[in-house]
Amino acid sequence: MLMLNTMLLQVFEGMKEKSDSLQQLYNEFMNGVYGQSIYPETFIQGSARLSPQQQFAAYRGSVVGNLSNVLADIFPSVNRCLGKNFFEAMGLRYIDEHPSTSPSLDNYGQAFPTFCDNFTPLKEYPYIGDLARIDWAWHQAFHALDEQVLSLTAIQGLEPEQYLALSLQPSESLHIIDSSYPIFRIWQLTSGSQGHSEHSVTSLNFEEGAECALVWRIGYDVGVASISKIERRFLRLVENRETLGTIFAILLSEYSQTQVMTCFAGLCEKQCFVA
Amino acid sequence: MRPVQNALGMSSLSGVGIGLRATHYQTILNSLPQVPWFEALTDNYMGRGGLPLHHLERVAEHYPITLHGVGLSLGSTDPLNTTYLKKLKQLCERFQPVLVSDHLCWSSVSNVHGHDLFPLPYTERAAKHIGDRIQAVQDFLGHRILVENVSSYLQYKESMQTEAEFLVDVIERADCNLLCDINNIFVSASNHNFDAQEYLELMPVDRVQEMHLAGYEDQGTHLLDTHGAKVHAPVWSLYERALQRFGQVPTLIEWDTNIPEFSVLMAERDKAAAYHADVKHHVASGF
Ligand SMILES: [Fe+2]
Repeated sequence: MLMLNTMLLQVFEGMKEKSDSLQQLYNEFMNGVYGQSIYPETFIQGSARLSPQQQFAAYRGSVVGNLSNVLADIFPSVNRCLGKNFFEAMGLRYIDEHPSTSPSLDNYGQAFPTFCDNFTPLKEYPYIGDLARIDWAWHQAFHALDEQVLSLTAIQGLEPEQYLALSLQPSESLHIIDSSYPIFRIWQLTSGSQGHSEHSVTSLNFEEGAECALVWRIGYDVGVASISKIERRFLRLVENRETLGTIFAILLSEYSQTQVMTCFAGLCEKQCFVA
Repeated sequence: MRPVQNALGMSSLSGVGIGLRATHYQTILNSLPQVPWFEALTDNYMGRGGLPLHHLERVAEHYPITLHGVGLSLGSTDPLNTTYLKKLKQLCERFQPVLVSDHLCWSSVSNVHGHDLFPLPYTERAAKHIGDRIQAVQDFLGHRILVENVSSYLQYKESMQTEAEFLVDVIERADCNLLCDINNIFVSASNHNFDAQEYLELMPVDRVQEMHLAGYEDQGTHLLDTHGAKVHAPVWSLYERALQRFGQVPTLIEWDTNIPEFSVLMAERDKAAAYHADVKHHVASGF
């Protein structure tokens, strides 16, 4: 590894001088691609049929079109909820404000949920940010590491001491989305998972209040579910690397033994923990 | 015949393959069509796990695979992205691709990525710059890569060479191989008013390890390389000429937007395979 770094360093040192002017050209180009005003005629020749501005526009159009499709793919529920035109217009704003910083397109869109929270035209739709969080979590879970699920039987086979000292390992794919809105039901209506498109989100009773959504991998599929308060507490304690003994002690001060054990068995069955 | 040996020494490649796209996984795995090889888009398999990698694994059990990427940003002035390179190397080790390719372009600068294939100015300095970087990539991977000519829509004022001269210069400096995209040559030739056949004549025959065929869209003022249509008639003619010059180089049918049913790709593949087989005849009869 050291050899590689030294080798790469030498290559870069040698390239530095001659790349300065290249870098200037590239920076100018990239700024223009992401919507800043530039002067393409200073570095582009143009042709008989197309001006420098028109030639450059082909690139800006291609980049923005591509990233716009990526956002629509990663945030299908938000796209369906807001409609194609609104989503596209909003996407354009997002793209210019959030140039991609990773060579992998799978990483594009991470800031989109927060962008939705703060997007003034969405002021009347404050739940869109959380809906975007579910979409983003779905996308993350889809590409997460393939893991060996921990079965309830494997845990039950342990001696009581080992069992209580156990720190469960949450699946890498697991995402908990806390929301002040009935976010799971909103997701159901907008994800197409229920197939009843005639129901709009506005038909929901927001007085029903907060919901917590869980997103995680089941085999190669991605699951989305609404979880109860006790399940949420349990998973948060697991995320904090508490032992089963501590988790039980904390939860038993608020819930009955049946409630706690049912919750634990349910989360195991959902495949939330890995070996 | 010019079967291409695996960069990693495992298997060889010949005939006309098809670009592997997610919408076709099931069809391919259920029917195992008569296709000699598939080309996977490297950047679609950069995740830690999940269905795409699982599907690629299944496909690779039945077919030779090549890896074709857009993320190396070979012409960039940023340091090479070691995370990306390591991931690419892991994919090579896992899937043993016969060929590994990326493009003659830059796509990122100052850590901002455009995810597109931007052309370089055609100067000796730029050729040396990208040549050094291709070499560094090859040293890291431990084998040669193929670099593909891209479609372009602009000419830089500072360009001193033609695209073909620049490409040849880069290949020599980098000691890499060439993925010759016939459609891209035609699109750029049409947009920049140069002779596509002359371009082909300049390419170093022994470096051409793969060819691409795809469709463009005529925008009136220029041709746009959408990879979203059937191969156009003039591109077939150019392909015929390329086969005569390069021999039976493995060829790929590429389709990236408005992806049709697999049968449409198969029909395009069969058409290309007919051209491909025909060359053998010409060569055998001393054409
Ligand atoms: Fe291509």
